[in-house]
Amino acid sequence: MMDERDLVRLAQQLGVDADHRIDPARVSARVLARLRARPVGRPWWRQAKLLPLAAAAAAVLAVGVGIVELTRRSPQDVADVVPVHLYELAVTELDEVLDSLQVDVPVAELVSAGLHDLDENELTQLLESMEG
Amino acid sequence: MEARGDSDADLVAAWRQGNQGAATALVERHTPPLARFLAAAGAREDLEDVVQETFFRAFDRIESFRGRSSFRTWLFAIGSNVLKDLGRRRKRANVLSIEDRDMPDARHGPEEQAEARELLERLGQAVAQLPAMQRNVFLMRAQQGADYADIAAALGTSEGAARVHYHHAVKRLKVALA
Repeated sequence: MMDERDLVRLAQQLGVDADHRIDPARVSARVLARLRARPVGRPWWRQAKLLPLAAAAAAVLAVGVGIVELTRRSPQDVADVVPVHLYELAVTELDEVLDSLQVDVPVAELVSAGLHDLDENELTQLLESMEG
Repeated sequence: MEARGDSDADLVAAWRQGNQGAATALVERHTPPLARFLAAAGAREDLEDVVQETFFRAFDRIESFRGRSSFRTWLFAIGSNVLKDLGRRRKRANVLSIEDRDMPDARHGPEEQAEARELLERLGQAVAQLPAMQRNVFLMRAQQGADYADIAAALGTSEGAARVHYHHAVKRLKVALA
């Protein structure tokens, strides 16, 4: 069986001619052209420091809409939810509850869009704040 | 204007200040090793596009480069993601053809050359079939000579884990070439 030294020596030949196929000057020119063509700056809500805040705001908005929807429904529907502390629910569970009540809140989409950036404490605080 | 002899850190800092000459210098400096890495990792006829996209992403998100790893290994990690995004991994088994490879030592005869080419071909295919982390660690280490700390920082793993990935990669490749 080949020893490690020979294997490494052989691996060093992989793609060894690849750099001859690339013109760095052309790559550089194209990359810089693309960078110049991109929009100047990013939307405020895409700034790295503000992403968690934006995600939280979106979640508040979405859950708020859900609460409003709930209050519009029959007292029985609401009663089914009241004994449950929202902060005890995982996001998926919250999604299921809203879904079972036919409340059209895209919690899963929000999760994939950035809610997952929140840690457990932040999520709990967010949900508690919605309890009022 | 930057000097070509500036360190990567100096050039990155200059690019952050908007110095396009610094970006050009970084591209010229790192294109050859990046191209080799990407070719070994799965890029083929669109290699230049992958290289270009890698540099674009790197410069576009330069603020996320903290200097924990070398600029080069950070670039390789981005390149690996570009390949992934482009779906090259599904085709990786077929990406490295013999003609894409460097010819073995010309001092040997045709039979030895053919054997060496066949061995290199098998290695390329075996590397292509490694799990992504093992492949990246192996190529960064074996092909580029990066140290484990650098690799670990670029790939977001620990130095110990990088060693383990390398060990497993070598083990698999030895078996594949036996």
